[in-house]
Amino acid sequence: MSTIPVVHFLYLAIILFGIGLFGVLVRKNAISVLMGVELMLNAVNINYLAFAKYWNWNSLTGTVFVVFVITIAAAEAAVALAIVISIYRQFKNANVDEVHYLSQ
Amino acid sequence: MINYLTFLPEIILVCTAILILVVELFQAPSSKRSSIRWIAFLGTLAALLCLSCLSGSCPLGCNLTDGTAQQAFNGFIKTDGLALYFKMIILLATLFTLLMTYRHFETHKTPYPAEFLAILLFSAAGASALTSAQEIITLYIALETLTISSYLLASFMKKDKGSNEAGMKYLLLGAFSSALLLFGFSYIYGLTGTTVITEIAKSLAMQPSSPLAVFALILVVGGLAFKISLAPFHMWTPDVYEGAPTPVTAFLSVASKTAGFAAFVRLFWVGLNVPSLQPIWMGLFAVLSAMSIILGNLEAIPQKNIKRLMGYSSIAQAGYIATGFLAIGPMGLTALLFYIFVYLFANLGVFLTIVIVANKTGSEQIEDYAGMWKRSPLIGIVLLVCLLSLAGVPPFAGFSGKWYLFGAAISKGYTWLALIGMTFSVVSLFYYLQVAKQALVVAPKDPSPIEMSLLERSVLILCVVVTVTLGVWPRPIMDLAQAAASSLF
Repeated sequence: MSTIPVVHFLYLAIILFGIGLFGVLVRKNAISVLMGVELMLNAVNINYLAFAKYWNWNSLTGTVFVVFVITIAAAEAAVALAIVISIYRQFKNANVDEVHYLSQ
Repeated sequence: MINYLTFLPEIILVCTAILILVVELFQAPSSKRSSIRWIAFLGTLAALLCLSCLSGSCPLGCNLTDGTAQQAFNGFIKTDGLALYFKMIILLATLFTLLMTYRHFETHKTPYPAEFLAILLFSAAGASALTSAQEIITLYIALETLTISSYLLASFMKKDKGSNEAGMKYLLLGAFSSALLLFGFSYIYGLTGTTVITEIAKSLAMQPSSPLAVFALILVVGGLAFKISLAPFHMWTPDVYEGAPTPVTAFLSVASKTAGFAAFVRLFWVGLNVPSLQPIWMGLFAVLSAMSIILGNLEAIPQKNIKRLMGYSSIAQAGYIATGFLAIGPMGLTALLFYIFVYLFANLGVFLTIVIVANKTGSEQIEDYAGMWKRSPLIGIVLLVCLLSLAGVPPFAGFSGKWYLFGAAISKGYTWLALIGMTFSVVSLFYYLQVAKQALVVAPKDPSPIEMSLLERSVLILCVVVTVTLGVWPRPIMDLAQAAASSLF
């Protein structure tokens, strides 16, 4: 049985990372920007798993890293959504380019 | 058996934070809540004192170790002299921040003072853990503990538009930079098959330079440069510094930056210091450092808000510190450590006066500092001494700090960078002296005196004394920095 070569996973990860990066740079809504960041973090996870498979499945280092990345991404998303809700209450929208109260 | 001594300061900080949250539950909402303040203060002080017990040369003689580096988890966390020095800076900055917090919340009321203190201590624990991380998973978790708490601290004033905006900008750019950093880390893991920093160095030294390694390197530099606000990754700094509550700004400008530099030293001087990659990241850093010094100083000139001015000033200061980072070796590291210590006292002295003045006048505009000298002579002196020290004017400590930094850079062949640093230090005098001029020369609009507590007065005097003393007699801290630097070389 043939397996998928590691490099294919890396291509998938870099494409996903690119889509996330594009979202962060182009989107105006704070929630969309956060979705872009989440895509980038998922690309990281794919990379780690691909490399973990390439090096040694039994060492667990890459796999453990993925678990931590997912956990921290969840914590970050919780804080992020709280801040975005607070922003929405103050500014009546959550568009990154319309929130400029501080001096230019 | 886990060696708990390795992360004793972090254990104390986290336990204190949890204790604050629990104690607050049992207090009436109307009470003044001075007990949680004392718990926070004493907890941080205990963590600071336990550093001297861990160093093996405690003046009181209560040594927990014989001075050797403590390690745990297969050496993933190692508390060596360098880590202890960085922890000392971070905990001192936390103590200063706590002092500012008490004064700041007199006028900026929040219903959640206990949560603020607890998150601040969690953040300090993250920064402190980051300094002893020897492995990139640990390093990443500590970094995120620091930054996620900082997002919350920056946006803590829920009813304040500025604080909300600061929190959102910090959050979006911080999360983005973390993703870049992690993507870089994932390729480093892919190239080496390990996450331990010393193992990474061994593995990378055996392979030729590859485009993937360079790509990973650029991602890691970009991701971490965000955290210490090196130009061109500094866009968030002025807004966050202006909008965040002033104690948080002070914390970010010293503790967060120190932790970032600790991560830089561990990752680059140990992990990526291999012949195939070293010239590339040295080149990148030289450019980032020069850009920070130039942009930070030039953009600071037209500022009207003192916190925003300090934001740009901190970008320039990060640039100066990065010149020392380029001089790999004991000399550069000693200069870097010494400068961070000097920067701590000068910067936090200024931020403490900002808090005290804003408490009285409600303003952070530079024009409202008119005649501070007449309203409180001590504030006038602190502003003059600390700002001149930040500008690097002799005989203050900033001068000897820059002398060592630029000296180290020149000895490694970065004369052009040292020249840029010196030129723009002169430019920086212009905006620092504008604040000092307002405070000392211009007549006050409102001559009512500014009062402060005995503790604040003594801390301000301490800042002045340290800044002046280290300018003429840098030996004690230089010895400490040298000892700390020797643990890496």
